[in-house]
Amino acid sequence: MEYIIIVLSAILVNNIVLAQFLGLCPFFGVSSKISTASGMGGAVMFVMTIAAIVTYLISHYILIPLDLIYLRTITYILVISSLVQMVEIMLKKVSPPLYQALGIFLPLMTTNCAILGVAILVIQQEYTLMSGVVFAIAHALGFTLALVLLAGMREQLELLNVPQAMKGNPIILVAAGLLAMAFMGFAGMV
Amino acid sequence: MAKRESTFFNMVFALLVITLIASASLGFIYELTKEPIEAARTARKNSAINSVVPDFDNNPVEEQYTMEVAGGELVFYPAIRDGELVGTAIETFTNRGFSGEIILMVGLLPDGTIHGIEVLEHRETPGLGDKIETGKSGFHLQFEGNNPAEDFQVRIRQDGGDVDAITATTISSRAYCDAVMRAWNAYMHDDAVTYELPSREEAVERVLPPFGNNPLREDYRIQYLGRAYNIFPGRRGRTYTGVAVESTSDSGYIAPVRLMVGFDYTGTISGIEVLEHSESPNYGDLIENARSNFYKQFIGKNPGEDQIRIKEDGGIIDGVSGATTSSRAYCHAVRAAWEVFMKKDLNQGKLYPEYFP
Amino acid sequence: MDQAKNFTKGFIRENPVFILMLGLCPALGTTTSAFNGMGMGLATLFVVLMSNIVVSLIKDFVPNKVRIPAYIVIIASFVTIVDLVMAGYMPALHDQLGLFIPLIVVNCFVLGRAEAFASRNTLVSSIIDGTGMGLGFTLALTLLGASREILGSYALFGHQFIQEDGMLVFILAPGAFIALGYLIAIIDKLNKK
Repeated sequence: MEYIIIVLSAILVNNIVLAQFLGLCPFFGVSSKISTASGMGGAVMFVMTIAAIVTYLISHYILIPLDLIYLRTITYILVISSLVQMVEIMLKKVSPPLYQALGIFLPLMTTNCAILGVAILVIQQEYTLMSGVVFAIAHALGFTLALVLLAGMREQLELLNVPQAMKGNPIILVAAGLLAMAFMGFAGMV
Repeated sequence: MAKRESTFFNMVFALLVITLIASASLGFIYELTKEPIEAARTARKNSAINSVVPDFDNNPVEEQYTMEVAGGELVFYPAIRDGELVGTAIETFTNRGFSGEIILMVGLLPDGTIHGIEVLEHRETPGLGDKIETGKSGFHLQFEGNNPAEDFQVRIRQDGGDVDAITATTISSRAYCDAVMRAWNAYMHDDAVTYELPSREEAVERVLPPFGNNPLREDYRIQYLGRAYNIFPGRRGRTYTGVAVESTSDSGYIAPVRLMVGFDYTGTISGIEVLEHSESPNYGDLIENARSNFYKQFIGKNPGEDQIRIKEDGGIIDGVSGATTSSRAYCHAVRAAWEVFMKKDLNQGKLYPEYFP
Repeated sequence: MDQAKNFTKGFIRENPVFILMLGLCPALGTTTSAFNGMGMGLATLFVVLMSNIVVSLIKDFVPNKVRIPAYIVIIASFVTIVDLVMAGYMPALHDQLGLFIPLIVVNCFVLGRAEAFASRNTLVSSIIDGTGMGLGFTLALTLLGASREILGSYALFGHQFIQEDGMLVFILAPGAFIALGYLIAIIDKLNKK
């Protein structure tokens, strides 16, 4: 039951992008096509889950016992960037098809604040390792959902006659706003 | 200086130097800001405690205790004045906020009346949900002075309660009520540890010196100073070994305390059990045998020789800390039981301790 | 490069939020009021300025291949300093900004300035660049915060001018996206003139 609440809350109610404003750079950067959007979503899920596990272990077995919580930001970001590198190298060796699908998105992960944000949230909200993993996967799903929905809207927008002043970024932001408004309907569900 | 080449040594050396300097300076800044951060945190907590409970003269933060409840932990800060619990500030939480967790400080009087509420932490929407904060609306006022035990339903009106939700902020208001009730329920019902008080039968059995009869079937009543006392005599064969007296104090902190006090034939206390009380959780209720060793101070004492009063009143008993009134009531009930036991002229013919050899 | 231009480019012409669309997470996440927006902007200004200074000073010491991790460590240190100092001396604002303070470290705009400017330019131009871009970021966040506060709570910097509930949607998440969309459209228009 606890996991169901975490999942529903992360995907619909507190959507990481539309309600918590994390991961906006890729949200606007790679949402021009549905296919790239879903590729990005997969890569985020992969890295986010591993990052949540690793940072959890580091926090609970190194930082907290040594009372070094203030080094959290610096440790996490270093761990995440080296993790991204490692994942990239390993994927290339182990599973070339998966690397083909996710490879180009991996370098973008280091500066994706959704990854670091979720890693910090897992510790802040004092989840156990298992619920932390569920939390990370659910947030990645929420991210993918928002990304794919916006990509769908942008593909439609291509065909529309948008007022000159609103062309480009402004209309995309307004579209994202409307999407966020739709997601507000889930508020209070959990 | 020319750009250094990317040899292995250079790379490791450069990164090593940078991380060393970085962590050293962070450690320095951390030491520097440690105190202000701690001070800011305690200041906020203290001011919240101050505003939700009546005046006190102890340090509630130092005397805090916690209680595990479903979904987390509540922290209790007891406010004590002149040795008496005057209220408890409870740090409580809810996960039902519009944007996640809300942490409140709820102040309850010993009988469960809500005295004050402050918001400690929340992530509710500014301009909307943040109106639950004390400074931003009068939302909290409708709770104050009300007791959920007395017909005040801590639910919003939409859910059939007595709380007016903040306009357009139903979810935050609902979550707020949830957090308040979590504190109240934990405080009143002491969810974490519930000890059953003994029944009359169990109490008689535990407080009497060894006996072979059935004291409950030989019970009778004595009137003393306008109050009825149940007496349960214990005997072996025809020899009486002791007697259990069911005794009630004048008044406790909230209501009178009812005890079962056992005496042997010399009038020495052989055992005491609490039958009934409504004292404050974690304070007055420490008079229960299961919760503290308070009762052990009485065993082996003879109220005819020993002053069965708390030390504040010139006696020999250490009162339960923070529950002077409850301890005093307990001593009173013990003395009343002893007087009943000793008064020969109260009940024609059947007097104690004349039965004893 | 003309230092005056170097200083002012961040305000409008190369504004990190309105033009470059960088650092959007804090730009949307913390701008529920003008004050919060400004607080976030100034915290970022400190980090971008300090990291620009340090990066420009050590640019020759750091081998090329490890420059990005080195910059990240430097930025993360300043972010932690801001985090600690704010928690100690401005606890209320620190609570409001919350998660977005540690997340300055992944604000692409900060790393972008270190990598694209400070690592190639002198100390003086790096300071000017950092200050200018930081002010531009602050300006953008304050402007966005102010518009959301004006529309959403009929107030500015906490002073309410109409005693009524505002258009709540601008305080909520959707309003953040929409307000920024329209602000960008307006700035674009001004830019083209």
